[in-house]
Amino acid sequence: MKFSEFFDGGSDRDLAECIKVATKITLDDASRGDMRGLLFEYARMRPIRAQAPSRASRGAFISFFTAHIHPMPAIAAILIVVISGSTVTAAETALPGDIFYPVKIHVTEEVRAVLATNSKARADWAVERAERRLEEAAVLSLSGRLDDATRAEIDTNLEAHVRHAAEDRARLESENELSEASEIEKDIGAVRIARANILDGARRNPRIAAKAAAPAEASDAALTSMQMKAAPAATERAQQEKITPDGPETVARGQRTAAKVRIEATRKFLKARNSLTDEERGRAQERLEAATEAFASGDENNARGNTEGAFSNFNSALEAATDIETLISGQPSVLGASSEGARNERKNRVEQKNTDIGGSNDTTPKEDGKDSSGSGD
Amino acid sequence: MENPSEWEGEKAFLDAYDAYGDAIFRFLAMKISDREVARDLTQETFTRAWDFCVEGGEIREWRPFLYRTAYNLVVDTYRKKKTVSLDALIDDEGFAVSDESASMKTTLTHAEMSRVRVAIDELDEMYRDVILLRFSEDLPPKDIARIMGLSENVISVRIHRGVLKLRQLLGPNTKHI
Repeated sequence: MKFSEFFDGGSDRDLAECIKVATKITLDDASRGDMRGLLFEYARMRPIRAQAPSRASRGAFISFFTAHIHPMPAIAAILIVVISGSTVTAAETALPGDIFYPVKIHVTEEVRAVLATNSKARADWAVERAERRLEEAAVLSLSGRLDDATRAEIDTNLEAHVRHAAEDRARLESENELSEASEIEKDIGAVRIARANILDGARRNPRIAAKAAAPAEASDAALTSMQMKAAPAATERAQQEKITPDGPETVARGQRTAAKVRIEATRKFLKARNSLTDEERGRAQERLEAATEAFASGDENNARGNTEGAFSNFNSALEAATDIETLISGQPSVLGASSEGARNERKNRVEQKNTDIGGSNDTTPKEDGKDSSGSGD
Repeated sequence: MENPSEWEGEKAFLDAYDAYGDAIFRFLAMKISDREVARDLTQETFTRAWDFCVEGGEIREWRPFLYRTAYNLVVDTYRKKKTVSLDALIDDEGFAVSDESASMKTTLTHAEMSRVRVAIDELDEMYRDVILLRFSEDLPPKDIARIMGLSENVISVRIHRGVLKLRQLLGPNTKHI
């Protein structure tokens, strides 16, 4: 069969063959082998039964790091192994004030930072760490545990992550990687917008904070001016650091980050906490589903290049997620005001049950096809 | 490895890498058009799959599981816009082109393959993803539906419309190649 027949009356089978041939690419042998070796070492490093690694596996683990001549991560990683795998797992879900939180901040996350092989990877990780801090703040806020000292601690750590991301962005720029530098700059802008929503917003009525971040009209100019009004703290910082105002894409991205953080935090909160009444839980679940749906629509619009539509979707997602916090905090909301009795009852239960808040933060799907990430089409 | 179940788990994991590592890399490379990032995300896909096992999960079907993890990774953590065309990506010397379909390769010239890639690139992302998963990766609509979190019916409709669009993009000028 000739090429002319593939698409001109040819069958789908011919089409399939043609696409397959035209897109057939593979890893080169060296990369494939290297990656296999790394995965083998990784599997040895984290045995399936989460028990203390055997002597043999420790040897393999050490050889993996020494072979890459990174003494600092090797030392930190060995520390992780000594602490034990279950401790590291526990640390991953720890929140400020938890016993394992310093392990999370100063060991496991630092190891990943040092292992990042280039400026882009380091900057990406720094941005992700900043988002983690915001998520911690959101979970604590939902559970009424975000006091001023904790907020300040989170903010300090977040600023350090943002500073590291900015340093790597500057390196990328000096290496003439302008496109990647621009992406990081937008990510940093997005984190600052989300920070204003979550950390500053937590000081006042969160729903009002979300409303303040919403534009009446999502035109480019309105988006920019709205953002500058909505995030005075971010604006001050931008002025101090001589950062140019964020463009509409960054603003939409900031709303996306804030919505994502609140959705994830709410999911963890609802999963771990049993102090809500059935009715409250049902309403919260409804709003969470609405938020997740709006968020997915925002991603679809983003993929199509429809920034305004995406902004509107992310804003809806943010409002829906913020409604849940309003409900839980007992403030009037679109969910309906909580009765005084219900609030008192909940307060009593919270005092009795000081449940730790945690949960998975990965994007690994469940085997039944349900996605733990909450994102998707 | 002292514990037989650990050994079996490792073996299944590495077998899955041997069987699907290239396919996951190809899927990621075509989705984000950046081979270095695709390489990193391929590794991340497998380490997350292993983490899932470590935390007590059981993976019965590695292939759809890995694709879905890779898809979620891109959706959740990688928001960079496409900067390189599929054609430029595959033309890059950094990729080894498989020799599996040698006979087809002799039938299709370099220019013809290039036209197919350009046409795929012109498809909307919603069609492009399903077309590549269906025809480049040979995944059935049921698996694609699980990967993308959509119904099988929606996937079938997208495949049908994507094929029509692709034929439109290539059909009229095909004979002049």
